[in-house]
Amino acid sequence: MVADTMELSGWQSSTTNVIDEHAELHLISNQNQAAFEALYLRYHPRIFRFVLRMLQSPDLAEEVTSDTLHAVWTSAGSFQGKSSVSTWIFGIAYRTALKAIRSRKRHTRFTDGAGDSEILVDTHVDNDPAVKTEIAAETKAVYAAIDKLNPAQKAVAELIALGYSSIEIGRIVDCPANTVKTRMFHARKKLHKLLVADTATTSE
Amino acid sequence: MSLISMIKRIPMRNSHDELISSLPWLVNGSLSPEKSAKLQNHIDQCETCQLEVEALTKLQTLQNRRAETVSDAQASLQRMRLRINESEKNPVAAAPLPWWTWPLNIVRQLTGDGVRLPSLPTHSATAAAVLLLATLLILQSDQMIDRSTSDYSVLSSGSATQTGIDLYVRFHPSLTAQEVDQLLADSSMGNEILFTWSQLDSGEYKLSVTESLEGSSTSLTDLSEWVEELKSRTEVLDVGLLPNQP
Repeated sequence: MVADTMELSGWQSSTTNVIDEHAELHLISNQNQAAFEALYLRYHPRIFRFVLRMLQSPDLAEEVTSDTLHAVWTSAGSFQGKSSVSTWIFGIAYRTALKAIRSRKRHTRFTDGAGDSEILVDTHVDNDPAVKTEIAAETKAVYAAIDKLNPAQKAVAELIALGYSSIEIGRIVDCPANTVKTRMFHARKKLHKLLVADTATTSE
Repeated sequence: MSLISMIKRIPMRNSHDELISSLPWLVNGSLSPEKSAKLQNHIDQCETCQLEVEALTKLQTLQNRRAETVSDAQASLQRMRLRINESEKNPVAAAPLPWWTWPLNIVRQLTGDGVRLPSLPTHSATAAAVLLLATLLILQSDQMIDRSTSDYSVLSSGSATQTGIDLYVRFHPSLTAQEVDQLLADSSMGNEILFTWSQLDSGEYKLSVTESLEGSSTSLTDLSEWVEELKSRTEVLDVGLLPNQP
């Protein structure tokens, strides 16, 4: 079996264990609940964050995260080892989130894409209240602009921030790496337009 | 310098778009050392790319630092344990058999397993299926829309550009004409692709791309992105390219 390892980065966990995820998934395919629970606790925060950015609804994001990890439990045996375990799981999460978006749109047509998650800003970086306010305003504008990207662009931007390569992202969202690059390039253009327009309107 | 001031200083169009499209992966550290070194050589001499890298670093930091609702993984795991136990107690019934197997199964049930059913030789059945498919295709070709190209996959076939693109879009029948008009008007304004549209039939529209970021030609990837966005906003039943008019 090919050893597929993943080093957990700082924000995911304080540990720096290297885990053989292929072996772990093999155990899960044999209904090993302990292996599944270890994987569950490791992946839940990352998948939740990823789908929350796409869906902008904590309740729906929790449902999609749960469905994704349940699919890992029921179909671990179908994993063919063509990609890393992480890429495979995020691929399931992406498809489940898209399905949720389509089904939500079917039920609530013509709601604007603002979503219902509140934009909270982390301003722990500076103690000066004036600087804090300025950083908070800018950060809020940046988050609002990111939220206005389309789901596919948001997914790519988020996966980049999570540290995935263009090839891995291509496997997750099921398109060639060049399309991933193009998608990010357009996302960048859109962010530029939104942020420049936003500040122009604010300064008027 | 703030992120927005940086973004304002970065020109949107420049001669190193190809290099710029790789920068997000340089910043997230997933590029190979060779590619990183090659890019770094360029960045050291290019002010625009330095600014771009600085802005991307700040953007990715902001994304990773975003303070938002955090889900309780332990509580979620507890619910998952219950879900798994529940599904083990009440396994989901097997999916119903496809409709084309019903007649055979009815005959099997009536005659019992012991009776051997006459079966067509495989090659005869294949020939009959091909004949039926060909007939259906001939009948379809009379329609105005070229169904052989009315396939969404055509749109996501790469970064090629094309001029004079006409799209066929069929919306869910529950959408009124006014709702579709409103939706298309919003999409046209909010996106980088401009188009005009006309109604072909109830729920069916012809969209003609008039302008895009590339000017008169349109990138098929851009178009597929736009369609993806439209699909995420409402129920699109069918979409495809219309054959070019002479």
